[in-house]
Amino acid sequence: MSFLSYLKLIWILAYRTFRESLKTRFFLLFAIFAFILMYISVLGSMLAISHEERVLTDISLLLMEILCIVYALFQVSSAFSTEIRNKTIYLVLSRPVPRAVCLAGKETGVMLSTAFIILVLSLMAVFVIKSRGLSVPDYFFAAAVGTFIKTAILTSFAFLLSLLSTSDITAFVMSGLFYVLGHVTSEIEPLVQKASGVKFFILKLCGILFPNLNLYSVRDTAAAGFPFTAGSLSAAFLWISAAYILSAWAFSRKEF
Amino acid sequence: MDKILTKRKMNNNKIKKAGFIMPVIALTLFLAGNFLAEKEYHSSFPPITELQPTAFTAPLDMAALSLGSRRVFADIWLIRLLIYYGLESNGEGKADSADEFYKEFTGRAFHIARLDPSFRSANTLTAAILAFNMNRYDDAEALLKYLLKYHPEQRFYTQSLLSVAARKKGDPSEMLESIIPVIQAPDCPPLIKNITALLFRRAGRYAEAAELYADIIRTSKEKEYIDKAVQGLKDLELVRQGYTDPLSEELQNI
Repeated sequence: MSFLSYLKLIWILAYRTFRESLKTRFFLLFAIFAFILMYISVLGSMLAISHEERVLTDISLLLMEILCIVYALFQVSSAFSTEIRNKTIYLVLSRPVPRAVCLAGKETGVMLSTAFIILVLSLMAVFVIKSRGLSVPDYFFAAAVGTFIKTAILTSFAFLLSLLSTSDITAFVMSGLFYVLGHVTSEIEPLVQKASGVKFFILKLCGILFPNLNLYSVRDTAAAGFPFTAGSLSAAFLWISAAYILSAWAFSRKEF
Repeated sequence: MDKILTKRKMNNNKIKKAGFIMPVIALTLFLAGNFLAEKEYHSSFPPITELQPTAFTAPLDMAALSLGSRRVFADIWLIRLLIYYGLESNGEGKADSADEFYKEFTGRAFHIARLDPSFRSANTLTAAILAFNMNRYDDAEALLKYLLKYHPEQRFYTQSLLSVAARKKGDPSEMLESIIPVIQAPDCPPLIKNITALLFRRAGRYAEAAELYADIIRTSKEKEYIDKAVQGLKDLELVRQGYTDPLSEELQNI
């Protein structure tokens, strides 16, 4: 099989995953729930009086990220288990499709649906902000891109965790912890410098084991300007590739 | 069918046969990513060691750091501060005696500054309240100096610091000159604009005061300051007609 035919296979699987995720009732319920949450955030921002624009934008962006992460993790943790339960995975694996290609298709599909949900949530947020007669700040869309990069990194590691863990819930919780630790590791750097002995070793290990997600928190560092550099984007690519290779390795050893 | 199955097995076996080479490649890529990230990441926020959490602030601070959302939590602390300020002003707060009035204000203002020193409008507002409403010049100065440590390029903090110093010295004209750039910022809080308008009136610069009142009416969302600005314009109309400024006595205390 040529490289192009592999790419074609990945695209077919990705499109199928994307379409399936949008066809579920969960997507519609999720979108309605997200909109209600975003609209409720207006109440919080109104309390800030003359800072309403900033507060509403900040809350919308945070909600967008949390909802998007929850959606992506839900998709990932149930991606293979649902297929195994419905026995649809055998339809793919019984064909001459390498497991690595199957995994790449699934990952790309989940990332596509994540990008779509970010687009939907961004439009909701813009609608809510505009409905209050406020303007959308310049960094809003850069922040949405940052959220996508974070979700893409987390999605690829969540696939790995879902292949290694025994239940959907365990994979979901572990991925959630991964998200939290991804933010905390860069914050604890001053503590690492002050620590010594075993404490130093544990804290340093935390810094090495988890990718620094704060690198893409544009919604938090908006004042510092447009933050994406070739280096930060390359780091994201390397992390996603590393997680994918490990997942492919784990998937190749999995017995069905 | 056999051919297809054999091909599938072969494809899968290629990865299996690679043994532990794949995890090693993955680990190398992961560490390369970490190395790049370490080079690229420069936090503009104060370090975690400066947060000084209390039992009251710790849960929210933990959430702020875990979600990478210092900005949002600085917003939440601002809302809490405004509620606290409002309750204390109305006599519905925790204070039992005059000494206890706004006791927590300085600490809360510093907490916002420590979470997000780039939150210009909130930090300027809290410094202005400390200096001009509560006469806590030293606290306001310390707050602005702390903010300038992280954002020395923020001329609004410098200007606010200068006006606090002038107020401390009792020199209103110097204070006025230093505060003018602050009120020109689009996110300048109406409280500061209102104080500046009063200073203009004290200095006899009525046209500039009227302009500022009109600006408050046009841009502010706070009814209290809109009402004050409308009243200010009415007072200035009387001055234009030749009467003395109704606030002339109070203005001497500003």
